[in-house]
Amino acid sequence: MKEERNDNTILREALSRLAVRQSAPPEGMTDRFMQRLVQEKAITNVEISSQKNSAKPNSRVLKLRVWAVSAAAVAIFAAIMVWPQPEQEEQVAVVAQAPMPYFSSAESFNKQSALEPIEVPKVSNPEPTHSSKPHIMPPQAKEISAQQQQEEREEPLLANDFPQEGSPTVVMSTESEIVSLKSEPRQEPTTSEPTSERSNQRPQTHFTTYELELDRRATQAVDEHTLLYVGEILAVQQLQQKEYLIEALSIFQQPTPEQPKPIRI
Amino acid sequence: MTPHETELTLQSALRGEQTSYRRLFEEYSGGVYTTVVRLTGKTEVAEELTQDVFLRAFNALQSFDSQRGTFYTWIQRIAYNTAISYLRQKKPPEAETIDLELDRLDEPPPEYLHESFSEKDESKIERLMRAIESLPTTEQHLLTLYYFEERSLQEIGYIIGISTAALSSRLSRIRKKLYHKLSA
Repeated sequence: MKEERNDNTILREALSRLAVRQSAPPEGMTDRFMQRLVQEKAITNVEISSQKNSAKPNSRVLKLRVWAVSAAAVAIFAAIMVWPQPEQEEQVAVVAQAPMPYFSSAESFNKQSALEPIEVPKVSNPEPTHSSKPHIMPPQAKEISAQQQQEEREEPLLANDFPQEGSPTVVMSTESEIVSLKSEPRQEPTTSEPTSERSNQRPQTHFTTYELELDRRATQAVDEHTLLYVGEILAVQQLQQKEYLIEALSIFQQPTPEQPKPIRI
Repeated sequence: MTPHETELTLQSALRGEQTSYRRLFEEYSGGVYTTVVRLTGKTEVAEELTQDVFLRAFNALQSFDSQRGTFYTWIQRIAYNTAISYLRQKKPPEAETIDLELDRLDEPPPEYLHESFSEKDESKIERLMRAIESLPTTEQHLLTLYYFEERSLQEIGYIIGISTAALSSRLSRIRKKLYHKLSA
Protein backbone atom coordinates (compact mmCIF):
# COMPACT_ATOMS: atom_id res chain seq x y z
CA MET A 1 0.00 0.00 0.00
CA LYS A 2 2.78 2.38 0.97
CA GLU A 3 4.71 1.59 -2.21
CA GLU A 4 1.62 2.20 -4.27
CA ARG A 5 1.24 5.62 -2.63
CA ASN A 6 4.86 6.54 -3.37
CA ASP A 7 4.50 5.58 -7.02
CA ASN A 8 1.46 7.77 -7.58
CA THR A 9 3.39 10.94 -8.15
CA ILE A 10 0.94 12.17 -10.79
CA LEU A 11 -1.93 11.88 -8.33
CA ARG A 12 0.05 13.77 -5.71
CA GLU A 13 0.80 16.46 -8.25
CA ALA A 14 -2.88 16.80 -9.11
CA LEU A 15 -3.85 17.00 -5.46
CA SER A 16 -1.19 19.61 -4.72
CA ARG A 17 -2.44 21.75 -7.58
CA LEU A 18 -5.97 21.44 -6.28
CA ALA A 19 -4.82 22.43 -2.81
CA VAL A 20 -3.19 25.55 -4.21
CA ARG A 21 -6.42 26.41 -6.00
CA GLN A 22 -8.32 26.26 -2.76
CA SER A 23 -8.04 29.65 -1.20
CA ALA A 24 -5.75 30.29 1.73
CA PRO A 25 -7.13 31.50 5.07
CA PRO A 26 -8.11 35.17 4.90
CA GLU A 27 -5.96 37.75 6.62
CA GLY A 28 -6.88 38.83 10.11
CA MET A 29 -8.69 35.59 10.84
CA THR A 30 -6.63 35.09 14.01
CA ASP A 31 -7.57 38.51 15.41
CA ARG A 32 -11.22 37.97 14.61
CA PHE A 33 -11.12 34.58 16.25
CA MET A 34 -9.51 35.98 19.40
CA GLN A 35 -12.21 38.64 19.61
CA ARG A 36 -14.89 35.98 19.26
CA LEU A 37 -13.12 33.86 21.84
CA VAL A 38 -13.22 36.69 24.36
CA GLN A 39 -16.82 37.58 23.50
CA GLU A 40 -18.05 34.04 23.96
CA LYS A 41 -16.01 33.74 27.17
CA ALA A 42 -14.51 30.50 26.03
CA ILE A 43 -11.21 31.42 27.68
CA THR A 44 -12.93 32.32 30.91
CA ASN A 45 -14.55 28.91 31.04
CA VAL A 46 -11.21 27.25 30.51
CA GLU A 47 -9.63 29.41 33.20
CA ILE A 48 -12.33 28.49 35.66
CA SER A 49 -12.06 24.80 34.89
CA SER A 50 -8.28 24.88 35.25
CA GLN A 51 -8.59 26.63 38.61
CA LYS A 52 -11.00 23.96 39.76
CA ASN A 53 -8.45 21.26 39.05
CA SER A 54 -5.32 23.03 40.16
CA ALA A 55 -5.94 24.64 43.49
CA LYS A 56 -8.03 23.46 46.38
CA PRO A 57 -6.50 25.98 48.86
CA ASN A 58 -8.09 28.73 46.78
CA SER A 59 -11.51 27.43 47.70
CA ARG A 60 -10.53 27.56 51.38
CA VAL A 61 -9.40 31.14 51.00
CA LEU A 62 -12.65 31.95 49.25
CA LYS A 63 -14.66 30.35 52.05
CA LEU A 64 -12.71 32.34 54.63
CA ARG A 65 -13.32 35.52 52.68
CA VAL A 66 -17.03 34.79 52.48
CA TRP A 67 -17.16 34.15 56.21
CA ALA A 68 -15.26 37.34 56.98
CA VAL A 69 -17.49 39.44 54.77
CA SER A 70 -20.67 37.94 56.20
CA ALA A 71 -19.44 38.44 59.79
CA ALA A 72 -18.58 42.05 59.06
CA ALA A 73 -21.99 42.60 57.52
CA VAL A 74 -23.73 41.13 60.59
CA ALA A 75 -21.62 43.31 62.91
CA ILE A 76 -22.43 46.45 60.95
CA PHE A 77 -26.12 45.59 60.93
CA ALA A 78 -26.11 44.98 64.68
CA ALA A 79 -24.29 48.26 65.31
CA ILE A 80 -26.84 50.13 63.21
CA MET A 81 -29.73 48.52 65.07
CA VAL A 82 -28.28 49.17 68.56
CA TRP A 83 -26.88 52.65 67.96
CA PRO A 84 -29.36 55.48 68.64
CA GLN A 85 -30.54 57.25 65.55
CA PRO A 86 -29.26 60.85 65.38
CA GLU A 87 -32.53 61.98 63.84
CA GLN A 88 -34.45 60.68 66.81
CA GLU A 89 -32.14 62.52 69.20
CA GLU A 90 -32.62 65.70 67.25
CA GLN A 91 -36.35 65.23 67.26
CA VAL A 92 -36.34 64.75 71.05
CA ALA A 93 -34.22 67.88 71.44
CA VAL A 94 -36.57 69.83 69.23
CA VAL A 95 -39.56 68.70 71.27
CA ALA A 96 -37.86 69.58 74.55
CA GLN A 97 -36.38 72.92 73.55
CA ALA A 98 -38.38 74.44 70.75
CA PRO A 99 -42.07 75.12 70.50
CA MET A 100 -44.25 73.16 68.16
CA PRO A 101 -44.34 74.14 64.50
CA TYR A 102 -46.66 77.00 63.99
CA PHE A 103 -49.03 77.42 61.06
CA SER A 104 -48.01 74.10 59.74
CA SER A 105 -51.08 73.81 57.59
CA ALA A 106 -50.48 77.24 56.13
CA GLU A 107 -46.95 76.22 55.24
CA SER A 108 -48.24 73.11 53.60
CA PHE A 109 -50.60 75.34 51.72
CA ASN A 110 -47.69 77.45 50.58
CA LYS A 111 -45.76 74.38 49.44
CA GLN A 112 -48.78 73.06 47.66
CA SER A 113 -49.28 76.39 45.96
CA ALA A 114 -45.65 76.40 44.91
CA LEU A 115 -46.12 73.07 43.20
CA GLU A 116 -49.52 73.77 41.68
CA PRO A 117 -50.27 77.35 40.84
CA ILE A 118 -53.71 78.23 42.16
CA GLU A 119 -55.55 81.39 41.47
CA VAL A 120 -55.46 83.30 44.71
CA PRO A 121 -56.39 86.94 45.15
CA LYS A 122 -53.33 89.11 45.16
CA VAL A 123 -51.89 90.16 48.48
CA SER A 124 -51.28 93.84 48.94
CA ASN A 125 -47.85 93.28 50.41
CA PRO A 126 -45.65 91.79 47.69
CA GLU A 127 -43.01 90.63 50.15
CA PRO A 128 -43.06 86.91 50.83
CA THR A 129 -44.47 86.12 54.23
CA HIS A 130 -42.72 82.79 54.55
CA SER A 131 -39.20 81.98 53.70
CA SER A 132 -38.14 78.49 52.86
CA LYS A 133 -35.22 78.62 55.27
CA PRO A 134 -35.89 78.16 58.97
CA HIS A 135 -35.33 81.48 60.66
CA ILE A 136 -34.06 81.72 64.22
CA MET A 137 -35.42 84.64 66.14
CA PRO A 138 -33.23 86.64 68.49
CA PRO A 139 -34.16 86.61 72.21
CA GLN A 140 -35.60 90.14 72.03
CA ALA A 141 -37.93 89.17 69.26
CA LYS A 142 -38.98 86.12 71.25
CA GLU A 143 -39.93 88.36 74.18
CA ILE A 144 -41.91 90.66 71.92
CA SER A 145 -43.67 87.75 70.29
CA ALA A 146 -44.52 86.25 73.67
CA GLN A 147 -45.98 89.59 74.69
CA GLN A 148 -48.01 89.71 71.49
CA GLN A 149 -49.23 86.21 72.06
CA GLN A 150 -50.41 87.13 75.55
CA GLU A 151 -52.21 90.18 74.17
CA GLU A 152 -53.87 88.17 71.48
CA ARG A 153 -54.91 85.54 73.98
CA GLU A 154 -56.69 88.19 76.03
CA GLU A 155 -58.49 89.49 72.96
CA PRO A 156 -61.88 87.85 72.46
CA LEU A 157 -62.66 86.17 69.22
CA LEU A 158 -64.56 88.74 67.19
CA ALA A 159 -67.60 87.96 65.14
CA ASN A 160 -65.90 89.58 62.15
CA ASP A 161 -63.30 86.85 62.19
CA PHE A 162 -65.87 84.24 61.30
CA PRO A 163 -66.34 83.63 57.60
CA GLN A 164 -69.52 85.08 56.23
CA GLU A 165 -71.49 84.02 53.23
CA GLY A 166 -70.21 85.58 50.08
CA SER A 167 -67.05 86.85 51.65
CA PRO A 168 -63.92 85.81 49.74
CA THR A 169 -61.55 83.39 51.43
CA VAL A 170 -58.24 85.15 51.63
CA VAL A 171 -55.00 83.72 52.82
CA MET A 172 -53.14 86.19 55.02
CA SER A 173 -54.92 89.01 53.34
CA THR A 174 -54.52 91.60 56.08
CA GLU A 175 -51.35 93.26 57.19
CA SER A 176 -51.95 92.27 60.78
CA GLU A 177 -51.87 88.62 59.81
CA ILE A 178 -48.62 89.11 57.96
CA VAL A 179 -47.11 90.89 60.95
CA SER A 180 -48.23 88.17 63.28
CA LEU A 181 -46.82 85.54 61.02
CA LYS A 182 -43.53 87.36 60.84
CA SER A 183 -43.28 87.90 64.57
CA GLU A 184 -44.46 84.48 65.65
CA PRO A 185 -41.68 82.22 66.83
CA ARG A 186 -41.94 79.14 64.78
CA GLN A 187 -39.78 76.25 63.81
CA GLU A 188 -39.74 74.93 60.32
CA PRO A 189 -40.17 71.18 60.14
CA THR A 190 -36.86 69.39 59.81
CA THR A 191 -38.07 67.20 57.01
CA SER A 192 -40.47 67.93 54.24
CA GLU A 193 -42.18 64.54 54.38
CA PRO A 194 -44.69 65.24 57.18
CA THR A 195 -45.68 68.51 55.57
CA SER A 196 -46.17 66.86 52.23
CA GLU A 197 -48.17 64.09 53.87
CA ARG A 198 -50.35 66.62 55.59
CA SER A 199 -50.79 68.49 52.36
CA ASN A 200 -51.82 65.27 50.71
CA GLN A 201 -54.27 64.44 53.44
CA ARG A 202 -55.82 67.87 53.37
CA PRO A 203 -56.64 68.91 49.87
CA GLN A 204 -58.12 72.24 51.06
CA THR A 205 -55.95 75.06 49.89
CA HIS A 206 -57.84 78.11 51.21
CA PHE A 207 -57.78 79.04 54.87
CA THR A 208 -59.94 81.58 56.44
CA THR A 209 -58.75 83.89 59.16
CA TYR A 210 -60.92 82.03 61.62
CA GLU A 211 -59.33 78.71 60.78
CA LEU A 212 -55.87 80.16 61.07
CA GLU A 213 -56.71 81.66 64.44
CA LEU A 214 -58.08 78.34 65.68
CA ASP A 215 -54.98 76.58 64.49
CA ARG A 216 -52.74 79.09 66.18
CA ARG A 217 -54.53 78.80 69.50
CA ALA A 218 -54.51 75.01 69.40
CA THR A 219 -50.79 75.05 68.74
CA GLN A 220 -50.26 77.51 71.57
CA ALA A 221 -52.12 75.27 73.99
CA VAL A 222 -50.00 72.32 72.99
CA ASP A 223 -46.88 74.45 73.45
CA GLU A 224 -47.89 75.44 76.97
CA HIS A 225 -48.63 71.85 77.84
CA THR A 226 -45.29 70.73 76.49
CA LEU A 227 -43.45 73.42 78.41
CA LEU A 228 -45.17 72.40 81.64
CA TYR A 229 -44.27 68.79 81.04
CA VAL A 230 -40.65 69.65 80.28
CA GLY A 231 -40.47 71.82 83.36
CA GLU A 232 -41.66 68.96 85.52
CA ILE A 233 -39.08 66.65 84.03
CA LEU A 234 -36.32 69.18 84.66
CA ALA A 235 -37.38 69.66 88.25
CA VAL A 236 -37.36 65.92 88.86
CA GLN A 237 -33.97 65.64 87.24
CA GLN A 238 -32.57 68.41 89.44
CA LEU A 239 -33.85 66.65 92.53
CA GLN A 240 -32.33 63.39 91.45
CA GLN A 241 -29.01 65.06 90.78
CA LYS A 242 -28.98 66.60 94.22
CA GLU A 243 -29.76 63.26 95.74
CA TYR A 244 -26.97 61.54 93.85
CA LEU A 245 -24.49 64.25 94.83
CA ILE A 246 -25.29 63.93 98.50
CA GLU A 247 -25.01 60.16 98.33
CA ALA A 248 -21.63 60.44 96.64
CA LEU A 249 -20.36 62.82 99.28
CA SER A 250 -21.54 60.55 102.05
CA ILE A 251 -19.62 57.65 100.57
CA PHE A 252 -16.32 59.53 100.44
CA GLN A 253 -16.67 61.31 103.79
CA GLN A 254 -15.42 59.39 106.81
CA PRO A 255 -17.90 59.82 109.64
CA THR A 256 -16.15 61.10 112.77
CA PRO A 257 -17.70 61.47 116.19
CA GLU A 258 -17.20 65.24 116.06
CA GLN A 259 -18.58 65.70 112.60
CA PRO A 260 -22.31 65.61 112.18
CA LYS A 261 -23.73 62.88 110.02
CA PRO A 262 -24.68 63.87 106.45
CA ILE A 263 -28.22 64.75 106.05
CA ARG A 264 -30.09 62.53 103.68
CA ILE A 265 -32.91 63.94 101.73
CA MET B 1 5.99 23.93 16.01
CA THR B 2 7.60 20.74 17.26
CA PRO B 3 5.56 18.18 19.21
CA HIS B 4 7.31 19.26 22.40
CA GLU B 5 6.49 22.93 21.75
CA THR B 6 2.89 21.96 21.03
CA GLU B 7 2.76 20.09 24.34
CA LEU B 8 4.09 23.12 26.26
CA THR B 9 1.67 25.44 24.48
CA LEU B 10 -1.22 23.15 25.32
CA GLN B 11 -0.22 23.09 28.98
CA SER B 12 -0.05 26.88 29.15
CA ALA B 13 -3.39 27.08 27.32
CA LEU B 14 -4.88 24.84 29.98
CA ARG B 15 -3.64 27.36 32.55
CA GLY B 16 -5.65 29.99 30.69
CA GLU B 17 -2.93 31.94 28.94
CA GLN B 18 -4.44 33.80 26.03
CA THR B 19 -1.22 33.91 24.01
CA SER B 20 -1.18 30.13 23.90
CA TYR B 21 -4.60 30.06 22.28
CA ARG B 22 -3.37 32.52 19.70
CA ARG B 23 -0.27 30.41 18.98
CA LEU B 24 -2.29 27.23 18.55
CA PHE B 25 -4.73 28.96 16.24
CA GLU B 26 -1.96 30.46 14.13
CA GLU B 27 -0.27 27.09 13.85
CA TYR B 28 -3.23 24.88 13.00
CA SER B 29 -5.91 27.17 11.53
CA GLY B 30 -4.50 26.88 8.00
CA GLY B 31 -4.97 23.13 7.85
CA VAL B 32 -8.38 23.32 9.43
CA TYR B 33 -9.47 26.04 7.03
CA THR B 34 -8.31 23.99 4.01
CA THR B 35 -10.13 20.92 5.29
CA VAL B 36 -13.32 22.87 5.82
CA VAL B 37 -13.13 24.45 2.36
CA ARG B 38 -12.40 21.06 0.76
CA LEU B 39 -15.28 19.36 2.48
CA THR B 40 -17.89 22.08 2.22
CA GLY B 41 -16.69 23.70 -1.00
CA LYS B 42 -17.69 27.08 0.37
CA THR B 43 -15.14 29.69 1.28
CA GLU B 44 -17.78 32.06 2.60
CA VAL B 45 -18.57 29.82 5.57
CA ALA B 46 -15.10 28.37 5.98
CA GLU B 47 -13.83 31.05 8.36
CA GLU B 48 -16.83 30.77 10.64
CA LEU B 49 -16.60 27.00 10.67
CA THR B 50 -12.86 27.17 11.35
CA GLN B 51 -13.55 29.40 14.34
CA ASP B 52 -16.23 26.97 15.50
CA VAL B 53 -13.72 24.15 15.30
CA PHE B 54 -11.22 25.95 17.49
CA LEU B 55 -13.85 27.07 19.98
CA ARG B 56 -14.94 23.47 20.38
CA ALA B 57 -11.35 22.34 20.68
CA PHE B 58 -10.44 24.92 23.31
CA ASN B 59 -13.54 24.23 25.34
CA ALA B 60 -12.73 20.53 25.31
CA LEU B 61 -8.98 20.95 25.66
CA GLN B 62 -8.89 18.91 28.86
CA SER B 63 -10.27 15.88 27.04
CA PHE B 64 -7.36 15.87 24.59
CA ASP B 65 -5.19 12.80 25.13
CA SER B 66 -1.76 13.03 23.58
CA GLN B 67 -1.34 9.25 23.96
CA ARG B 68 -4.11 8.59 21.40
CA GLY B 69 -2.82 10.96 18.75
CA THR B 70 -1.29 14.29 17.94
CA PHE B 71 -3.04 17.61 18.36
CA TYR B 72 -3.18 17.86 14.56
CA THR B 73 -5.19 14.67 14.14
CA TRP B 74 -7.43 15.65 17.08
CA ILE B 75 -8.31 19.04 15.64
CA GLN B 76 -8.63 17.62 12.13
CA ARG B 77 -11.18 15.15 13.47
CA ILE B 78 -13.13 18.06 15.01
CA ALA B 79 -12.88 19.92 11.70
CA TYR B 80 -14.12 16.90 9.74
CA ASN B 81 -17.08 16.37 12.07
CA THR B 82 -17.92 20.09 12.04
CA ALA B 83 -17.88 20.24 8.25
CA ILE B 84 -19.89 17.04 7.85
CA SER B 85 -22.52 18.20 10.31
CA TYR B 86 -22.70 21.49 8.42
CA LEU B 87 -23.22 19.63 5.15
CA ARG B 88 -25.91 17.46 6.71
CA GLN B 89 -27.75 20.56 7.84
CA LYS B 90 -27.52 22.20 4.43
CA LYS B 91 -28.24 19.36 2.07
CA PRO B 92 -29.56 15.78 2.28
CA PRO B 93 -27.04 12.93 2.50
CA GLU B 94 -25.82 11.51 -0.77
CA ALA B 95 -27.40 8.31 -1.92
CA GLU B 96 -25.45 5.09 -1.94
CA THR B 97 -26.46 4.26 -5.53
CA ILE B 98 -23.16 5.48 -6.88
CA ASP B 99 -21.23 3.09 -4.68
CA LEU B 100 -23.57 0.25 -5.66
CA GLU B 101 -22.94 1.01 -9.30
CA LEU B 102 -19.25 1.14 -8.57
CA ASP B 103 -19.37 -2.37 -7.11
CA ARG B 104 -20.65 -3.67 -10.42
CA LEU B 105 -17.67 -2.16 -12.31
CA ASP B 106 -14.55 -4.15 -13.10
CA GLU B 107 -11.43 -3.81 -10.98
CA PRO B 108 -8.77 -1.69 -12.72
CA PRO B 109 -5.57 -3.55 -13.60
CA PRO B 110 -2.76 -2.61 -11.21
CA GLU B 111 -0.30 -1.89 -14.00
CA TYR B 112 -2.70 0.58 -15.58
CA LEU B 113 -3.01 2.50 -12.34
CA HIS B 114 0.70 2.42 -11.92
CA GLU B 115 1.27 3.65 -15.43
CA SER B 116 -1.32 6.30 -15.41
CA PHE B 117 -0.30 7.77 -12.07
CA SER B 118 3.43 7.58 -12.49
CA GLU B 119 3.75 9.39 -15.79
CA LYS B 120 4.14 13.13 -15.68
CA ASP B 121 1.89 14.27 -18.40
CA GLU B 122 0.19 17.67 -18.29
CA SER B 123 -2.91 16.49 -20.11
CA LYS B 124 -3.21 13.52 -17.78
CA ILE B 125 -2.80 15.77 -14.74
CA GLU B 126 -5.56 18.07 -15.98
CA ARG B 127 -7.89 15.13 -16.57
CA LEU B 128 -7.05 13.72 -13.18
CA MET B 129 -7.75 17.04 -11.50
CA ARG B 130 -11.18 17.20 -13.15
CA ALA B 131 -11.85 13.61 -12.09
CA ILE B 132 -10.90 14.37 -8.51
CA GLU B 133 -13.07 17.47 -8.46
CA SER B 134 -16.02 15.40 -9.63
CA LEU B 135 -15.68 13.12 -6.60
CA PRO B 136 -17.63 13.78 -3.41
CA THR B 137 -15.85 16.13 -1.06
CA THR B 138 -15.32 13.45 1.59
CA GLU B 139 -13.54 11.28 -0.95
CA GLN B 140 -11.44 14.21 -2.10
CA HIS B 141 -10.54 14.76 1.52
CA LEU B 142 -9.55 11.13 1.93
CA LEU B 143 -7.35 11.28 -1.16
CA THR B 144 -5.70 14.47 0.09
CA LEU B 145 -5.04 13.05 3.52
CA TYR B 146 -3.63 9.84 2.16
CA TYR B 147 -1.80 10.81 -1.02
CA PHE B 148 -0.94 14.46 -0.49
CA GLU B 149 -0.48 14.83 3.28
CA GLU B 150 0.71 11.23 3.53
CA ARG B 151 -1.08 10.54 6.77
CA SER B 152 -1.16 6.99 8.07
CA LEU B 153 -4.28 4.87 7.85
CA GLN B 154 -4.61 5.02 11.64
CA GLU B 155 -4.53 8.80 11.65
CA ILE B 156 -7.05 9.12 8.82
CA GLY B 157 -9.25 6.49 10.44
CA TYR B 158 -9.18 8.48 13.66
CA ILE B 159 -9.97 11.73 11.84
CA ILE B 160 -12.97 10.47 9.92
CA GLY B 161 -14.01 7.98 12.55
CA ILE B 162 -13.70 4.66 10.74
CA SER B 163 -11.47 1.63 11.10
CA THR B 164 -8.33 1.12 9.03
CA ALA B 165 -9.94 -1.84 7.20
CA ALA B 166 -12.94 0.23 6.20
CA LEU B 167 -10.60 3.02 5.18
CA SER B 168 -8.59 0.70 2.94
CA SER B 169 -11.79 -0.42 1.30
CA ARG B 170 -12.94 3.11 0.73
CA LEU B 171 -9.60 4.13 -0.77
CA SER B 172 -9.78 1.16 -3.12
CA ARG B 173 -13.23 2.23 -4.28
CA ILE B 174 -12.05 5.77 -4.85
CA ARG B 175 -9.16 4.58 -6.98
CA LYS B 176 -11.51 2.41 -9.00
CA LYS B 177 -13.80 5.34 -9.53
CA LEU B 178 -10.93 7.52 -10.71
CA TYR B 179 -9.82 4.84 -13.14
CA HIS B 180 -13.20 4.62 -14.75
CA LYS B 181 -13.51 8.37 -14.93
CA LEU B 182 -10.16 8.65 -16.64
CA SER B 183 -10.85 5.79 -19.04
CA ALA B 184 -14.31 7.09 -19.94
